[in-house]
Amino acid sequence: MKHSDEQFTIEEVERLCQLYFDSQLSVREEMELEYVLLCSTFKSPIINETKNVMEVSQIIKFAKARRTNISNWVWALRAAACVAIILGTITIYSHFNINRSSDNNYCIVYVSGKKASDEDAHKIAEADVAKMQQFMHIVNEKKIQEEAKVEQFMNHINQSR
Amino acid sequence: MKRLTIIFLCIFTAVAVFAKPPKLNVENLFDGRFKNNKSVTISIYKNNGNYYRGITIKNNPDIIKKIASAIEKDVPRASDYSDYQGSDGQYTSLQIINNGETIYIGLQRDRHGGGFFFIQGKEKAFK
Repeated sequence: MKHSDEQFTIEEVERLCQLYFDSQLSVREEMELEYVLLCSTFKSPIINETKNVMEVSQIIKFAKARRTNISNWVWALRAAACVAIILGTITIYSHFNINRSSDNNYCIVYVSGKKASDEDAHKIAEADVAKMQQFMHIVNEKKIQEEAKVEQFMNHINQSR
Repeated sequence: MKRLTIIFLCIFTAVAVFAKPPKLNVENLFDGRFKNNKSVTISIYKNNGNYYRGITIKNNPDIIKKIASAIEKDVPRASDYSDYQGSDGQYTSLQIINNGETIYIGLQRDRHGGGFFFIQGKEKAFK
């Protein structure tokens, strides 16, 4: 039998209907004929009779469409459930991890290839943090100075125009 | 069931990629390669969600060069970058934003092949 997207002529459909009444069609071909009758607008005595015998009606069409919609909804719900499970797991894990890690303070220092004692490590690390703060202070000051220089330069250019 | 497994794997992969930590080039400097170096002091310090890592170098231009090269590779990811030449040396500063928090990176180079390098930020910024 032809594919569903191919066009049947009325003669071909009538011939198929005749084959149906002669019990010459397989189960699959009968299903395909049912589909063709659903989609076609052909009208003839044999076609109408076949439709009646096959009980082809809009109800079948509606039921099919509805089943597809329900199926899509089921898959959408399943996908949503997957997202919820993954996000939930990540949230719980990260919350647990943050709580655990914030309680887990540490200080490790190596001086000239040797690990420092806890007391020395804290002193060195604190000195380093102070050095870092001084670094950031110097960089900020320099940035302000440079921005002031640029502004002064721009003012000078604008005045000379 | 097969379709459901594929959907689950796709979503999980997307979330895993999205949640990938920043993995900066400068972070690799703390992989232990300088741990036994005599001219280096390494500090790794975490306190109340603040994370600090620092390297102080005495007279070792090779290490300074390696650090400067790692910083250069992270420059494209920086929201703020500055480089100043002062009377007491060169100051290179970077700010990288990740996870809504700022990571501060700095390198001070003195005139004798030494320097001071650090990475600092909230722990959340490194996740």
